[in-house]
Parts: sequence; C-alpha cells; structure tokens
Amino acid sequence: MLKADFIYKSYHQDKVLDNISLEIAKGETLCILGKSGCGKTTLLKILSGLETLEKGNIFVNNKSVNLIPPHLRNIVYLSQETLLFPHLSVFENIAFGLKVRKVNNLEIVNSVNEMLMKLDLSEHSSKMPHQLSGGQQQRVSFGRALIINPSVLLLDEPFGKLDSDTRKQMQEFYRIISQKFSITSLFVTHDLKEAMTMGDKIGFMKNGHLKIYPSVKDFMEDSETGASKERDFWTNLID
Amino acid sequence: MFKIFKIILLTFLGTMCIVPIIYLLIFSLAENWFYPQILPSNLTWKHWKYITQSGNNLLSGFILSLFISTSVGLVSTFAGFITSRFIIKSKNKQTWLFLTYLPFVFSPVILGISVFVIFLKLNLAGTFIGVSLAQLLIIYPFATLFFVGFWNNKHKQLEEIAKTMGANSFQVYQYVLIPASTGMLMVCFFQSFLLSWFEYGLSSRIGIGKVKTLTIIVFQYINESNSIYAALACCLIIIPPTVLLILNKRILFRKIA
Repeated sequence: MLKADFIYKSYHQDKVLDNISLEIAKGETLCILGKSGCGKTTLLKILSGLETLEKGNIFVNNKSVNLIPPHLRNIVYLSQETLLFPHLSVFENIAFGLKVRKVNNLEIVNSVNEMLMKLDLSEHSSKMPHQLSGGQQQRVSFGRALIINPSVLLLDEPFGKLDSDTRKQMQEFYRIISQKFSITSLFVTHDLKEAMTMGDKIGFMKNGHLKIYPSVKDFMEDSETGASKERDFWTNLID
Repeated sequence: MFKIFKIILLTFLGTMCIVPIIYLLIFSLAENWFYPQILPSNLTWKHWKYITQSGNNLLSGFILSLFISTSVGLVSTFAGFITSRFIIKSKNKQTWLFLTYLPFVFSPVILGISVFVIFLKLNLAGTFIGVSLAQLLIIYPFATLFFVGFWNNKHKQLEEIAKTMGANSFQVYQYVLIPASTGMLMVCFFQSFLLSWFEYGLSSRIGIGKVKTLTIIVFQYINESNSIYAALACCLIIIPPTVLLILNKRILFRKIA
C-alpha cells in the first residue's frame, strides 16, 4: 500500500508539486492524467526516492520511507523510455534485481525462466535489447521490475513511445499482469483513453495540484479534465 | 574517376604513415649509410642486439615506460570516469570544469617547473611514483574532460532504473555504468596511455635524470647526434601504441562510428 501526504516540491520560485496527497491500496492501480510539465514525473521520482521532497510524508505499507534511499525502498520506477541495460541479454536484464540482491544462482535461473515463460519471452532469452521490438522490450522491462516483487510500481507514460497497435497490445498485457501479479501501481499518462481504461482509480494533475475522483463518471463530468469535450467531439462526429 | 581518386588518396595516406616507420627500421639496421647513398651499403642486427646487452638503458627504459604509462592510463581512466560523473551532477559544474581545464593553460614543462619544489620536498623527484604523479597532473584532467562529454540523459535514466531495482551506488557502477561504457573506457585508456608514453617535459623535469623513460632516452640520443640508436629507440617506442591500436581497432573504427 502506498500513501503520500502533502507532498511539496519547488524549483527556485516555481511550485512543482503543491501539497499532493494520494493513497493506493494493495493490488490497485491509480491512473494520473496530466499534460506535459504538470509535475507528474517529479511526483513519481519523489515517491521512488530519486528526487528529494521538501515537505510531506510517504508511507509504504504504513512505514515512512522519507529517509530510505531509492535502492532500499522496493519501489520500482519505469521511465518513459524502455531502457533495458544495453550490455545485458534479456535473461540478464530480468535477473538484474535478483543479482544485486545477491540471490543464489540456481534461484535466479529458476525465477527468471519462470518469468520469461509468464511473459512469453522464453525464446528471446539470449537476445540483446537491440534485437527486440518495442513491445518485446517493454515486456522485458516489466519482467525485470516484477521479478523483485516490488511494493509499488511507478509507471511514467510507459507506452508513450509505442505505435498505436503495440500500445493497445501492451495496455491489454498490463491489465492481465497487474491482475496476475496483484501489482500496486501508479500509472501516469497524458492519454485520456489510456487513463480511463488502465486504472482502478483516476486522478487529474494540473499546475502541481492533484485531484482524485471517486469514479470515472465524476472524472467525465469535471470540465477541467477535458474528458467531456472529447466525448462530445466523438458524439458530434458520429451524429 | 572518384574510385581512382580514392585509391590515390589512400595510397598516399598509407605511404605517409608507413614510409617513416620503414625509414626508422632501415636506419636502425644500417651500417655505413653515407650521403648520397639512397640505401645503406650494409644491414646488420648488431644495434638491435645491443638492446639485450647489459649496461644499456634501452630495455630498462622500455619496461619502465610500459609500467608508468599502463599505471597512469589505468588510474586516469578510472579516476576520470568517476570524477566526470561527480562534475556532471555537481551544482558547481562550471567551477569544477574551469579547474579541470586549468592544467592545460601551462605547457607540461612550465607545470613541471611549478611543481618541482613540492615533489623535491616530498622526496618524489627522481622516482617512479613521482613521474607517474606528475604525468597524472595532465592526463587525469584529460580523462575527466574526455568523459564529461560522454554522460547523457540515457546514462542518468539507466542509473535511476538500476537504483530503484535495488542497486546501491557501487553496484550501479559495477553492473551498469562501467560495463555499459567499456568501449569508451578502452578508448580513454588508449589515449591516456599514448599521452603518458610520449610525455617528455614533465617526466624529464620531475625525473631529474634518474627516471629514464624511453621518450627521454630518444631525446638523449638525438642530443648526442647518435642517429642510429635514436632510430632504434624510436622503433621500440612505436611498438606499444601499434599493438594497442590493433587491439582497439574494432572499438576505435567501428563502435564509436
């Protein structure tokens, strides 16, 4: 479970995050929609410990993690780019988290092979990242994150660089694995449709403020989100 | 037409590179080579045999240079790699960069004169460690500046991902940054080695005639007008760079391109 209370961050004189609070229950996905530069990435980096926060508190499973460095938080941050380690094979990329935790070799081999099978990547295990398609790279990236059983997964527009077909496939893939692995995640996107379909809860971020909606209906009815405008556009187009 | 021009150009460049080496080799084997002879009347191995004879300093100079250049190359490459990372992340990046460029304001000889007293007081003048440290004054900043331009946003993101995967700062270097930068590390080592290998000004000043690197020996022979032994020493001096160039060929000409 992830809980953040009154997160505040500024750069020089500009407020980037203004008292943001959120709560994600175990196995739940919170989707945050927001335009570029609204502070989404900064929020994720603060939650993962990659950026320092000025004010506020972050709790993981009811324990404060404010002073815990990123490598001990067990919160995995996946950036916009599908960045696999270029010098490691698919197998080695997935094994990375276990290797740095000094898990014994036999256990690593078993766990990675199991993960490769679950992600339908077994036949690509010895390939290098540049030999994979965008979708395959994304799956390896998820496998690399999931194998260490993170408390929270932070996804920063993970499908933003994929073409529309692959993106659709990956959204479906993510829905399946988030249920299968019961992932607690915060999914950030600037794509309205993606935000509405990927999360259990939905939030909207603007100028460093975050508003979380009780239901998709409430989200649709708020004129600020632009969801109703989008719906009207498609309705008028069909009519 | 273009093809012919390309062949001519390549032949010209090849000749420009190979002819001086062949000339040095012939010179080192020459016996009685007087003007206006195009080639020496006799060739002999006796000068080369001199290398293995006791009492000469060519072989010891070669081995000493090899030790100094390898140590300086390794230390400056790894120190430069890590230092450049700190500079890139530092809030005072411009100040650190200015300080890194500072040793290049002086020529090596002037730098040698400036620091000579310190080396003398520390009993480092005329020692292997002293000469190596003196060379690092120039080559370590070079390696740092070499890597400052290397780091980009991709490396930062790789580091962030590795950290959230559970890697501590040491593991980030061990498992991600160093292995992902092997090509650049090798190129930097190669260039640092070359700088050290051919360094004369600092080495001669700090070495005070006690540390005789191969480059110093070459200058010594030239000053003595001992052309044949100077040619022989020059032949020795090009061996390690040539071997390194062959070893690095793939990285230098393919990976970077």
